[in-house]
Amino acid sequence: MPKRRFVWTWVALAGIAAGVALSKAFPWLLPNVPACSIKRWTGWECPGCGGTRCTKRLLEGDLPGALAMNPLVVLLALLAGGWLLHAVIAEWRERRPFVPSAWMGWSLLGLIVVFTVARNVPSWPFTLLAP
Amino acid sequence: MWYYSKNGAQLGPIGPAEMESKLKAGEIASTDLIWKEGMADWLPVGKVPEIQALLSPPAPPSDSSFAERPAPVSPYAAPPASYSQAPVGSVSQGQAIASMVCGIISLVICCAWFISGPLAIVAIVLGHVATSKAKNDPARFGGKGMARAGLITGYLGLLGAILMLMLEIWAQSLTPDKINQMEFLPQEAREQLIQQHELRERLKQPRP
Repeated sequence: MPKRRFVWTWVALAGIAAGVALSKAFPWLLPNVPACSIKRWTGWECPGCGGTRCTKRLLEGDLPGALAMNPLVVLLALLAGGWLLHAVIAEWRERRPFVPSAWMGWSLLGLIVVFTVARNVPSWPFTLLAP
Repeated sequence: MWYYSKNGAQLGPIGPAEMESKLKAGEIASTDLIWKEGMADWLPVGKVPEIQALLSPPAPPSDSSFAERPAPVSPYAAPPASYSQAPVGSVSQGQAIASMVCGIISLVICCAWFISGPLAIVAIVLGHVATSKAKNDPARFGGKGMARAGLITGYLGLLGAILMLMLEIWAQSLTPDKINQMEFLPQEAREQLIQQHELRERLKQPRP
């Protein structure tokens, strides 16, 4: 019998620890986060713009605030967290976790491109996507 | 009750009879992984003795009574040596997945080159490793498509990071006059660049 290793459980614990550490570190981390170069040079919002503020609000539990800053980061965080929870449960029940396939990666990438274009459209429904 | 895996998805359970018919119909290939309660780990069909017996060419009448024969005491106690060292994940796609994830993240935060650059390099290295593993040993390593996605996004992310870095270095060499001539830049950006330039100049001067 190979030894059960509980890889994903450890990853999840490490993730929780990193989240707690990050939320403690934010007050003195924030002033030192450099601004986005794309925004500085072109004035456009990049797909990650607002990501730092979004992460801060997420860690504080302020979901509407996080969504207003960068819905993409919220979506990615939900996907990653949800999958990790699923993997931990599967691991304890001695099942194999569901494995995403390449087309899911490509559709996610397509979504990111659409999101990037949409948040730079300067009229009402789209401005909701920009921080 | 057998479980089997196709394209990374876990399917089953199916009974022995269904297993046999799926094998004969070619629905489950000899490199597909199967598992049942009591087995230490997932194995390709070709490595499971019980299934091997099902697949062996039809013949001596003595063999046809296989189904009625009581199961051997412990047919799976010792998997072949090469498999006992295999990682817990059977069709190992971990590196391919990690490559794709790193590649996508490096594209999302391409503006922060100091994060996206290293991430892109990780995606590229893992992508190449996963691709060559999948090529050499397809029974144990899968995820070729994801590795390709990781490679493409990784190279794009690296390109973006290098462009951003070059832009930053070029910006250091600008003087306030030149910056003010660049009217395509937003006003805020120009002010910020001039401030940075002044800060650098101040740092260059000898301390009193």
